[in-house]
Amino acid sequence: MLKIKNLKKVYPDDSGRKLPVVEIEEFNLKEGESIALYGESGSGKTTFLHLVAGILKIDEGSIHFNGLEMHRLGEHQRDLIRARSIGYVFQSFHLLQGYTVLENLLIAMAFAGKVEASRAKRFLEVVGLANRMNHAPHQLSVGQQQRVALARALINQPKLLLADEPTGNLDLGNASIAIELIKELCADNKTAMIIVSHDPKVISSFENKLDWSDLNRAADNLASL
Amino acid sequence: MIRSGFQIILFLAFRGVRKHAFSSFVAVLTIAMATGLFLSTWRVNQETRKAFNHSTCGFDAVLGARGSKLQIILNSLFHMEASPGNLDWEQYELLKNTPGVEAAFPIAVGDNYLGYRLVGTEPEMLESHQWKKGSKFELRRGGRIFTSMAKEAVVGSFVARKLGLKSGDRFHPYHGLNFKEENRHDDVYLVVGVLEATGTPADRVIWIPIKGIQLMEGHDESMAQSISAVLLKLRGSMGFSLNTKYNKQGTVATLAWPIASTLSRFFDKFSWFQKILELVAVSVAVIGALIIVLTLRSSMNEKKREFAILRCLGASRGEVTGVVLCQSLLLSLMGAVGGVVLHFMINFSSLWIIREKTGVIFEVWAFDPLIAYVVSAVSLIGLLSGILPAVHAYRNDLAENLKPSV
Repeated sequence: MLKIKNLKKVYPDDSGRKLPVVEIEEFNLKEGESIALYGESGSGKTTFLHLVAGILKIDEGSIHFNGLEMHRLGEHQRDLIRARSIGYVFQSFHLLQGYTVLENLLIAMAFAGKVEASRAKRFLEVVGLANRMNHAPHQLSVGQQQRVALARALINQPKLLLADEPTGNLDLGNASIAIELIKELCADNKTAMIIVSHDPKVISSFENKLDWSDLNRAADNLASL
Repeated sequence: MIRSGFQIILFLAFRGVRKHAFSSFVAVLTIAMATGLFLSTWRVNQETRKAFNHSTCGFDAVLGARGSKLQIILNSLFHMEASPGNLDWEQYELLKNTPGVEAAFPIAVGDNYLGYRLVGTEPEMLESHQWKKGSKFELRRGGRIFTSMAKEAVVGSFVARKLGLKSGDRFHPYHGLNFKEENRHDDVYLVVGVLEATGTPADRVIWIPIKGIQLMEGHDESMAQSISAVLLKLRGSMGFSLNTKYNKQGTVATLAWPIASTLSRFFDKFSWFQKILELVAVSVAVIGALIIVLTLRSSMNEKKREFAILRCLGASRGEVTGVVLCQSLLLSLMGAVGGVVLHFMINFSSLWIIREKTGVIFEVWAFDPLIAYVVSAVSLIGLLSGILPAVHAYRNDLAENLKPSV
């Protein structure tokens, strides 16, 4: 489902020299498979997720996603794939503040081209927010906000979920609830998942886990900077 | 409800307007004022010109005492201003029998009733003259035209409404064109008819026999053979002949002809005022556009993250740019529509004032293609003012703006 080969992303440093941030020889993920990545902050994990999501363009190598050569697609096509087939959850949730919980989901559906209010409402029931759908995000608790972010990321039944420190802002109790919910929803939908975390409890809850520095050859260089 | 495609752009733009309600309101109000001012300045001017040209009661020319053509027209047709002087009755007789003069009616002024002018004329003017092609003066039910030697009056519709006059009422005229209680004449006039409304200055006067003015108790005896002006309906090129006779070769009288060009010159005297108002309107429009730019620019920092989230959800650069442009278009369109409403309100107020002062009415509600042009132009200005913030949104660094806020 996701095949990455010889992936490279470089950024210019202060002196203008090109500094590799992500350098991955090979990475594969099957349909419905989950993997947890752990590693030091600032070692290029978020950049990796952005590359997979098509938010950033790769400099070298290839990313095959769902039969498509992501690295050859234009920005607009990558936007469409992200809308329809990739869900993204962030540490700080990134909910749209001027909109209700339900609208946050409907907007995500609109960009995927399939708006169904009834399905969005059902999904909010699943994540336990049926009675909060007309609330603004700031009226919700942190745990509830995370559930909205998760519902929004999964409402379009994506093939892949990218979760960047999804429990980073949650307390211990809410963190484990969130992880269970993520796993449950992904399993229901056969959604593959790459989760990035530095929380050992989160990492240990996943069978398939990988040290980021083992995957990214550039990680050590970055960490030593 | 949220839908895909253009509707999501419209929805997000509308929410953007709502989110910054106060600054959006100021931008819309400013644009509405500019649009309203520009449209009403132009239209009141155009419609007033048109209305005055159509309010000449079907006459082609007016012969008055030697003096200003404009004063003669204003005095004789619009019942404003004072008469420049008097003519002898013979002048009227002479014109009446001139070949090429289709109709000639003498008028005499000099008295009023509670501030409304008494205009003396021959009954034939109210009976047979067409004040508009195919339209003669009509009386309300039960009324009749005065007879030439009786102390009778026919009241214009506006005066009847204002003073509550009706057939059978009697009144004392007052000397002079302005009402002064101590100037009351002893004569008593009987209202024998009320004219149906014509939308012309004829509605604002009380018509009496010309002999009534000439022989009014207390008037100078010399008035008995004097008239204020002669209203003329001409055939063919008679206007040229009479113009040469009275204006170029004569010294006694002035022929106000052609009426339209005299009125046009009158309005042209105020064109500088229209230009100033138009300039003010354009300046206000520019300020409105700047407010749109500032509104969008000031919200852009806050919007950077929102746009990045939208991009992350799958919105393209084009869609995000479209939201900004659509927002500026919405603001300017709302302003333009508000301006059209405002211009109708200004026009309606102007109509009321002009009708009160002159009796002339003009078309307020008619659609003018200019409205569509101005709305399009204002919308375009709004769209253009959104370009800079839109470019800003287009260039938004997605990855950078998704970073957690510190």
